[in-house]
Amino acid sequence: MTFFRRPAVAILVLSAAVNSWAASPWLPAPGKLTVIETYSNDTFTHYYPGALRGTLPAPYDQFTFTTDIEYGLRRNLTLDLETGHTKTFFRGNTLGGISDSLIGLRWQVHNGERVVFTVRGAGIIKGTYDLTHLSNFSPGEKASGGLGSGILGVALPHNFFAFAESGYRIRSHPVPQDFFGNVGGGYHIKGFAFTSDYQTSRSINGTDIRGTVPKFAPPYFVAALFPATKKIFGAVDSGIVYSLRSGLSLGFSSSTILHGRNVGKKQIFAFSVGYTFPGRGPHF
Amino acid sequence: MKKALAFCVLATLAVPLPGSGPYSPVRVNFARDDRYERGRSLFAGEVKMGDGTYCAACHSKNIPLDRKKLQSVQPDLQRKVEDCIHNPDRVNGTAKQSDMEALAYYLAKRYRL
Repeated sequence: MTFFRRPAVAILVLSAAVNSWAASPWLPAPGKLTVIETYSNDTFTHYYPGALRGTLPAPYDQFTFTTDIEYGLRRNLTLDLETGHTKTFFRGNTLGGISDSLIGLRWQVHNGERVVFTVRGAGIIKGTYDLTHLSNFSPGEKASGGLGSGILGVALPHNFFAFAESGYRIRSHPVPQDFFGNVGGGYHIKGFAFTSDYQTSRSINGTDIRGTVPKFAPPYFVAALFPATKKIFGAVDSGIVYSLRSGLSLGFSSSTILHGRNVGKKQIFAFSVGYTFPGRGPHF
Repeated sequence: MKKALAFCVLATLAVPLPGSGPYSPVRVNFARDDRYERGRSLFAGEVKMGDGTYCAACHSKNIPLDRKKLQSVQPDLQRKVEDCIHNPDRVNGTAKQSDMEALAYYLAKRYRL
């Protein structure tokens, strides 16, 4: 809690991390540097233990500051860094620290008039937060690894556009491997961009919770297995970004987890402020 | 009874929550590359290059461009673009080297040369 009461300290630790698995198929021009600061709040009371539904006695909250940096190395190559600081709150308990960070490259292998296709690879560096093996509010899985994906972008007539991503993520044992992806569309006009998409992540292995009630004793599920839990979710995101000619951008997005397994039915709100150096305009 | 109640409380509290860290919405930054956009705006006349007409005024209807035609002049495309811009009967203007390149780049991409 102290972290959020001290803005100065908060700014100092903004160089920490967040789990954003999705990325844009459109790349910044070479030499352009964009920095985006995002503040997000995840909250839920309902959750899906295995195939069941449950309700927590109190809401679970997670607050995260994220810093995203992208730099156009070449016309078809971009360097990405994502890091942040996250903190969870549940019934008076709290855990926090630098969240899992990403550093990666996006390579645009096709850049047509309307269609772009980009491949992405990123390394995941585990965060500094503590994991709890006794309760249920760890800020993440604290695991290093890597991910790879292919991202498609299509410019449609009348200022519409569409995008889709499909990827695979591998992290250190015992965290399961995941397939992830999204498909969505958007509309842009006069500096405003509206997007909406469906996003999913599906563990292909890991420990599931079975039975009518979770069993927390060997050989069944035990609390220490939290990071190893198989997780599946599908969510819908909606967002709006306003970009000024100066390079400044302001964004808001909301997301809802619609269905899942071994996950919370989260509601997420995020505010972002970004700045692009050296600003918009021809740069070639 | 107490044991059952304790178990229920424990089961409720110990269910694994998302655990995969904070959820992050998809963030897509739709942006065509600057050179393409510059070339398109020059071609469409959104940015004026001279006192005469603009590229699309001729090349959309009167002298329409097509892939075959452009492919035949592709090695010399930028010079053709320059001629068009300097011609007093056409654009009647001038353009920076980067704008010439942007126009040629736009045409090459637009017509998949």
